[in-house]
Amino acid sequence: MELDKSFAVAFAGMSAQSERLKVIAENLANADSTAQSPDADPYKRQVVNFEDVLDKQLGVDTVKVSGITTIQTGFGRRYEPGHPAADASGYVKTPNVNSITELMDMREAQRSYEANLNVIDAAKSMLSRALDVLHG
Amino acid sequence: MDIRSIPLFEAITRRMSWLTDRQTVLAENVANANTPGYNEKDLKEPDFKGLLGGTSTAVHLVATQPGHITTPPGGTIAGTVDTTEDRTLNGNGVSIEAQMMKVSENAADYALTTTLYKQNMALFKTVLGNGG
Repeated sequence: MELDKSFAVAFAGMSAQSERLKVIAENLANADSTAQSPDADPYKRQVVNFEDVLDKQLGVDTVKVSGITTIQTGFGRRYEPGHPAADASGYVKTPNVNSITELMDMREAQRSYEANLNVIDAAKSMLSRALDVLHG
Repeated sequence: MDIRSIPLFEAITRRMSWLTDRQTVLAENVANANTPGYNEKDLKEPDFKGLLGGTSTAVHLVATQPGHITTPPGGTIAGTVDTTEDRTLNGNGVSIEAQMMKVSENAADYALTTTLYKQNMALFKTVLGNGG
């Protein structure tokens, strides 16, 4: 069944996008997570990497999350002397998460997820059309 | 008699399998809409006119020995073409809007083709006397 391939590819796309959404949620949830001590780093922003992979069984190009990269730089600083993670001059390192960037990323993930859903809808209507031929 | 040997039905069957293949290619594009360095593809439009005229231009493999590979039924395998027009910063060349348009166009074409198939089948049934 050839239409199975369309379904498989679209499902792969949807699971890759939901993985991305999960990482975005982690970033947003930890947007204010500072470290416990002055020498440690606060929460580091993570980004997913996508990669197209050939599904050898079906012979189609699907997509998967090839890895999650942790961004090591770009921490902010906030003056808060009483904080357990404050350094000698009273500054606390804050995570490198920018909520606007994350929200933009989230929108894109959502849009791509919907696009995959549309492909499934179209393939489904094609399938039911094909089965309809039987009714003559 | 094989129904596929009637040129019209052969063309319809081939069109349906081409549209199915195209749906797969479009699904690949949409799934990879955020993959860096991915180019969008589309299936080449095959020549359906030759089929309807009764003179098929398709090239078939000839099996002269028992172990030879023959062309699969349904005919020629159309290649894909790169349709990338614009790229995002990460080098991805998929335009979701264009893909959505193609997907719906594809589904509509498929609906049209199956309707044609049904209509022609109904004609046959009328001739045979049990068209109802």
